Amino acid sequence: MLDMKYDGADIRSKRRPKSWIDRVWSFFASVKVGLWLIGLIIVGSAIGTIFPQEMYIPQQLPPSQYYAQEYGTPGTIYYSLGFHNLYTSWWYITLIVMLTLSLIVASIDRLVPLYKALKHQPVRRTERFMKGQRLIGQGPGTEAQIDELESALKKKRYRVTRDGDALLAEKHRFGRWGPYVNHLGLVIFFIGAMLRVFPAFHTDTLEWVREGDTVSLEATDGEYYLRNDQFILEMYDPENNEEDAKFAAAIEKAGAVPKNYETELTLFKKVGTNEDGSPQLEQVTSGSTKVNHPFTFDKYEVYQEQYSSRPEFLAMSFTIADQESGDTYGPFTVDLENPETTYDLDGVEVTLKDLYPDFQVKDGQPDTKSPRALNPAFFFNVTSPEGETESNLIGIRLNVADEDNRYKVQFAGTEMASTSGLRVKSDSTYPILIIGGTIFMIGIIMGMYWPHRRVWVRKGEGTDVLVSGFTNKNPSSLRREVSPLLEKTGLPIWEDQAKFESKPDDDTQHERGES
Amino acid sequence: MEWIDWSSRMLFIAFIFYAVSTVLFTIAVSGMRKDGNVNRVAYGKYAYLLAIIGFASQLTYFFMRWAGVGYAPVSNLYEYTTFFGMMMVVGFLVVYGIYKNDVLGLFAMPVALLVIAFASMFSSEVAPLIPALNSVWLKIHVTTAALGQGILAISFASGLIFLLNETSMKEQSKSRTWLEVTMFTLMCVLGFILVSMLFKGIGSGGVVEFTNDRGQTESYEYLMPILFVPEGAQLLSGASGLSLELPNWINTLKLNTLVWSIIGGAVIYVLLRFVILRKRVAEALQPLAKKVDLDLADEISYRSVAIGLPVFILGGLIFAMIWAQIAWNRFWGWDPKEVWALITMLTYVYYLHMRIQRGWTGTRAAWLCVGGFGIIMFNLVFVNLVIAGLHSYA
Ligand code: HEM
Repeated sequence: MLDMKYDGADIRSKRRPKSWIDRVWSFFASVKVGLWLIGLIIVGSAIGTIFPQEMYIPQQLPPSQYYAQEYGTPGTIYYSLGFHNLYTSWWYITLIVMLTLSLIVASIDRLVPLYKALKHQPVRRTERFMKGQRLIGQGPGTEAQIDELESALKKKRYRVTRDGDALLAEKHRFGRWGPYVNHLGLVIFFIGAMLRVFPAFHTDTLEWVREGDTVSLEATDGEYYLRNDQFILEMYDPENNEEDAKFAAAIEKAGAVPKNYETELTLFKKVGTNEDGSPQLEQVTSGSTKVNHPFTFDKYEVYQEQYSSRPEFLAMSFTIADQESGDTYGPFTVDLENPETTYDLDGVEVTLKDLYPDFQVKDGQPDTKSPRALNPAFFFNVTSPEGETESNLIGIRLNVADEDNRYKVQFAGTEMASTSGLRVKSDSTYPILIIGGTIFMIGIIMGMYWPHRRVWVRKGEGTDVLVSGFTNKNPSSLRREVSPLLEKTGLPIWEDQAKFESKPDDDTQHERGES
Repeated sequence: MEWIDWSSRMLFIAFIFYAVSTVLFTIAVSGMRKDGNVNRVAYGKYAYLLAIIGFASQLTYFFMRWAGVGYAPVSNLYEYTTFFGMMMVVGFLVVYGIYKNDVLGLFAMPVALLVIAFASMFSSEVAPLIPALNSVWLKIHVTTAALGQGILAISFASGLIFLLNETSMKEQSKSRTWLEVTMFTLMCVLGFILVSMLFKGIGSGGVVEFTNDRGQTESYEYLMPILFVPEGAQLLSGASGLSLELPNWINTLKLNTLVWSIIGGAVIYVLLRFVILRKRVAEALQPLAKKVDLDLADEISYRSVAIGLPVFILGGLIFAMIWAQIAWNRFWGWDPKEVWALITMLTYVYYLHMRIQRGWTGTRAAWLCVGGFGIIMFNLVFVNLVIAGLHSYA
């Protein structure tokens, strides 16, 4: 039988290698090499899922300890072989690059000759050619019958060309380009993915924005500002919400389950600088971002990625109790963002000496862990109308004052704000990935859903007519499509010459070919 | 709640229809001559019709449950696996529509049945959807991916037919051994189902408490008699029996289930092989598989891959990337589930390219179809239950 894969076209990689370029070309054009590459990528990828990759392990422990502690000796080996970062390892990337090269070379190698061969197809083929096809039939027939077959094939949407008594019917030739189209799409996709390695192609920052705050977006180089107008956190509530009641049992087990978290935002653009150096902002738009519904503007996307489960304090209010007279003064409010230093309460003067937004005791001294107002503590001096001054350190579950202090500082209220973790991203490789992915998908569908089918008919020796068929997939379907037409016109029915054989030890074997 | 109860009933009805359809396909095939034309017209047609009615009731289940839970019911292992079983039926209906081959029904329908029965072993409790899973793209991604896998799974059935037909049962060969291993594996799935039902009936599990790697106290609730426990485990309730202590990093609860499934599978296998059939299971099935030409079996495998792979790539990779981009703000993160979807695709891509190579069609290709289904099931069961990741349902 003839090898019909590329219609017998002259393929570069199949010639005898001459130079080293030819050798490299043949290497990458080889389907065997392609199979090896795909096989190795399968095995490599699978290894990467045995234990979690480094990016998914908890951050409390260094990876060198984590793998050993969680997974024992296998974990240690896994880590020392670098499998904890497998998908960015040099060998994995080399495999992908080689696959890409192979895709390019193998496609060019075959596409050009195949294109030429299919473009210039003779209608009348040699008997040798026809007998070399998988489907072949030979027997008596007339030209009138061939004419009849022609119109029958046309009804089945074949494109038919004639050369005297010879006939060529063809359909879905464009399906042959499917593999090349999909390979091209893949190459574009890979190139896009590789470009993402360069920071110039994408920006990605996480911004923590407190309710009410406006921040400059680093990802946009300070061109845009976002204000967090409100952060909304909704939990499933089987007791009060009828809709959620059906989940009661599951929530009982799992604890509180969030239903939605969402940040309402306003976007500003910087249009200039005020005299005091602060940015002059102009409102652009407002909207919201929640999980699965990012907020987009310009070329940027804002994702609701996290929220702080510990809201920050905006302001705290206090009262002062005179323990001698029983009088109460205040309340007064300390704005944590812009605190005032003195508060006058009917003659009692309170001075804020120190403010610790995130209180801790370090080396025996009061100190702050971070500038975020998560656990504020205040150092006040309280001066009586008589001019005596006492000091007070007050914070959450903390009240350090002299036993005999006349004035007692007490909490009178708090104002809190949630903080939303917003991921601001832009990526200029998206269009490349989308185009590559689309071409890939189109190519796959073209190649898989449209089998190329051809039928040749011609007069042979004497009164004989030869009928042969080619398809690049599903030969039995071609047979089932065309055999009834052959039968109807009375032309010889074709047979498949390339049937599989069972192992020859069983009884049913002999029935084969009887029908 | 009513919707949900009714949906379960519809699923049960679908199951019955599928089962009867399988029986009719068996009759159609056993009564069928090599040239393929005796009883099949009658029985094969009815069998196909029942499969369609079964499918319609399962579709009703799907939408009723949707109405009940308020979101597309493909968001836990029970719902997803059931849906996958339904998509296998769709795959079968499509491919049968092209080739009208009853033998395919005889092999594909039982596998779909097995998958649906397997699904019903997972908890069908309705759970609230966390925000990340509440997405149109997720629904599109999951359903399309499952449809692709369902169609691809048909190549498993026809690959098996090919191998059963082609392999000589009279002489020792790798194919003969591995076919028997495949049969045994299917028996173990059946074993899991029967053993789960049995022990649920008599309630012979127990609860143990132990200290895990990180020094926290954890407890395992066994639904089957306890064979393995973690080091230093304390029995809180249930029967103790003979249980083996194993190192803490092994999840003995899952191991326990696995071992019981294998025991169940082994019992079924031994019964079949030495009492009922008195020959290899594969050998018993061979005469049925012989009713199909090798070429046709090979072509059906190829065709299922050709139809299923584009659907799978679209759903399992492309839609998956779109969803991942929207929900996790990265379209690809090398999460185990993602990696295994990629491996699934590459396996079938390997299959297609292997066929370009002369002489690599036939047996090798058929084994790859069997292996491909193995990977799909692995991705469904193992990756979800054992390797936890973002997409994990468990
Ligand atoms: C992940 C990577 C790849 C994908 C998704 C892919 C996809 C495909 C598909 C879907 C087909 C059509 C198969 C059929 O019709 O049965 C095909 C054909 C082909 N592929 Fe690939 N391929 C990949 C990698 C490669 C590599 C590395 C080579 C290098 C040798 C290669 C060489 C070929 C050849 C020679 C054909 C046949 C072309 C024809 O029939 O005219 N492919 N590919």
